Amino acid sequence: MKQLLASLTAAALLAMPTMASAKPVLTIYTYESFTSEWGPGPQIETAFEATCDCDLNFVSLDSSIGILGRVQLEGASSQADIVLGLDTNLTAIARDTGLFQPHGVTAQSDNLPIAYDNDMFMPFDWGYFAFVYDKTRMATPPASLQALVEADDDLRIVIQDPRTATPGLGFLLWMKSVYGDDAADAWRALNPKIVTVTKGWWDAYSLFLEGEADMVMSYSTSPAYHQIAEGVDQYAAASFSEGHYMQIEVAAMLKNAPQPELAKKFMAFIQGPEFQGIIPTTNWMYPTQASAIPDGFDGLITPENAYLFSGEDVKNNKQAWVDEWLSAATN
Amino acid sequence: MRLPHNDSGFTRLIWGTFIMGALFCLAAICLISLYQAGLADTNISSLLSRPYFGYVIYITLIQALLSVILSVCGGVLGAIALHRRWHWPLRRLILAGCFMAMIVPTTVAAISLLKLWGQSGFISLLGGSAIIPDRLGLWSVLLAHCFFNIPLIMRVCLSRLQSVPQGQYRHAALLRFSAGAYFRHIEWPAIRTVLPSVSGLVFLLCFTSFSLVLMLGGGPAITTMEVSIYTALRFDFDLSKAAVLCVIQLVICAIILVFIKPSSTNFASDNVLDAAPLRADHQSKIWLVGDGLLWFGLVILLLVPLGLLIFNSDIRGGIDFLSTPRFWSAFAHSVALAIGAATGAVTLAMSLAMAAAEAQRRHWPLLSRLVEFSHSLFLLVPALVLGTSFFILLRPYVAVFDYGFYIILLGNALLSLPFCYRILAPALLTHWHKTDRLCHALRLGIWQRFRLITLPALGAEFAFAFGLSAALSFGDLGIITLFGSQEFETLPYLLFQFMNRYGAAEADLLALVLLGSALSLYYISYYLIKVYRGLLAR
Repeated sequence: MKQLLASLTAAALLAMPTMASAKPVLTIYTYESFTSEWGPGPQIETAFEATCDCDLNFVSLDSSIGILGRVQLEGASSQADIVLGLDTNLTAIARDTGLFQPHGVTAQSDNLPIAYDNDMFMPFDWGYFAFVYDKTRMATPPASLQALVEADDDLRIVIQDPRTATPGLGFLLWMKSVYGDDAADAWRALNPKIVTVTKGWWDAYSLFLEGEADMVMSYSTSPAYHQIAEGVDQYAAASFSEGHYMQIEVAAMLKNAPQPELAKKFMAFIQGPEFQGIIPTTNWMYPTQASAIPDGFDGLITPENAYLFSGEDVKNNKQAWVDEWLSAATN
Repeated sequence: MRLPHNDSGFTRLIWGTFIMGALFCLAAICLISLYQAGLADTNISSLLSRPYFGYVIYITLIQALLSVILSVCGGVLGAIALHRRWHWPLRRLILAGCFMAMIVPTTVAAISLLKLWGQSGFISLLGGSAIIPDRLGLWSVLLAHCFFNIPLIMRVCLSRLQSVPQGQYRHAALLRFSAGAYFRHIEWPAIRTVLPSVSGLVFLLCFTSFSLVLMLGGGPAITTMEVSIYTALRFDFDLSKAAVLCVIQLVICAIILVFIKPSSTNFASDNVLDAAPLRADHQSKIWLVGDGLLWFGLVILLLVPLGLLIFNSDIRGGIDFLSTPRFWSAFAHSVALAIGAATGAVTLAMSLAMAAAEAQRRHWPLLSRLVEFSHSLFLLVPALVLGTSFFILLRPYVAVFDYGFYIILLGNALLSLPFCYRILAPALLTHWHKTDRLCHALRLGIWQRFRLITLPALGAEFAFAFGLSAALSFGDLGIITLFGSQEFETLPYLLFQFMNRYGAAEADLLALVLLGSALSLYYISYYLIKVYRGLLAR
């Protein structure tokens, strides 16, 4: 029996987390592409650590809405100080959880498409949702959402799950903005063209790049990545005549943040030139500060009409709209 | 009365009964915590009236039913074709494939199957893209379930066919039986006896399938209740919905378990399948072709996907990943989980078997049946339900995520308990019966007896049970999806993150590492038993 116990203990010890360093640690939950080596995470970590004498620890979760789910599951015992990567569609739902607190920083964005001032949620970047396609494989993309919905069924698109990823939710809301009460029919028409519904944005975008789909639900700014970082001009975002749904990504600090002072400092840092300067060419979204817009962003499509539901509207209708999509997806 | 200090049956009985009690308590605690979470919210009726909710139950049942039908047809036909053409080449390879299917982690199977059947898989590469559906869905889930369950059914049926008295085959040869007559008079009567229990087991496994559906379902249209529980908990944070789904799943599983008693399925060890049957079938051309096609189908289903993974992976791109701390931390977690869970499962199985044997000896049938039943309790309460209810139960008091490792350890041990028990219990019962008097005369204590007599004598069974549980929990992708994060990952979880991604090379590499490690764990346990026997003999 002793040997059995010994091997069990050894097994348990093997799995123990390593001890943290002595510096205070600021823990930020975010989505996966944010912390990848080519994402903004590493640069932001270096930049912030230079100002704070602390350790910034990004914990990456597999999808953006999963960040909220995770802190809800952890409840008051969460180790997170900040969540980064929700969007304005989710703010009313997030506020209702009672898990967040006002950040106490005056918002001073001069590059947001709408005036946005929220005591709890700090915008850190924004963009327009758009379908990205490969110009070498598709000469003329659909010119409108309606054209996409009514396109031949051999067109193959990949989207994200609105229950798990903010782009997925964004597309659901885009469909709702354009089709209103007819959204269910539109979903049914679109269905045969959806190759798969992925959990997060990165999964979908990778599938598209590997050639598994003709178009992917992404952002109007995504082609800039290929142009600026890769020097490749073959990808473009399709401009839809009805207009595009907008996304403003936000960060918020938790009520039970273990490091509230550091968290406040970071919330202010988000608006600063360093953070904003890093975002456009790593997260490939528009910065909230006009001074941070990089050169290569001029050639991107800019929709004339933009949609955005209020957080309250989304909170009150999300369940019903998701159910509408599920019913359409399953028959 | 003073208990003698040597191994008394009474101690074994008490200990095993205690374990049984603990298992029942655990299941009860799960139910109570789910019940409370479900009750805390009063809108259960509105939940039930939501259309998708009913659809989930419907599609889970349909999928499981189709999986069972396909697996049973494939398994029975495959077993008969294999038994009839025992001398054909590739038999050993097919049997090895059957054996591999017991150990291959679900994540590895998913990747391998896509290498053959995927949109950019081998078949479309050969120009067969027309026959491949252009997106994942029911077909891919069914394919994966066949990959795992046809071998299971084949093994059970084959060992049943092997146990048919040889006289019957001799008579059949004398009477020049046709293939149909063989089937009517020998094969079907034999197979019929094992079919209900093994198809019941397969139904339960497919009904509660999680990782395969998550990876190969391709969207919300193909799902299981397990996957919906995960979504409800992880993304909607809807405890009551998760709890209601858990309870419905439990009820359906319980009904199935009562009706088809999957607990009587025996797992044949390899040596049973080695002896050649004495058959001299009357050969007809049609059956020759039919059997050829069946063999070909088995090779395509079982061997080609794994072969493609092993021989056709571009791992060079991912090799750098092996030097990252992320990989090694996940590897260490997986190894620790595998060894811990296997130790747990074997200990639990042995304790239960001891008590069942002792209760049987004392003619206490109720207790012996209760003990027997308790091992399959957690076929009924799948890992994710266990994880969910633990979560709901502990959340108010502790930071549950800090205990994720231990919850997964427990979950994995209970997951492999039914398999362990079925491997160990029959052998242990006969062995104990034979050595009782001897050990009593030698006044051996319970631990001495295990060390000196039981373990060396039943080395093969212990190695099989330990190795299988270790491999199963090494490759398990279940509760980790609830508790996993960048700070706590296992190899299957890592592979799940990389799958369908840019990091295809990493995914291939991880799949190979997973497969290699699971197989190594299995064979190392055989090797260790051999070493141990050698040490004892000296």
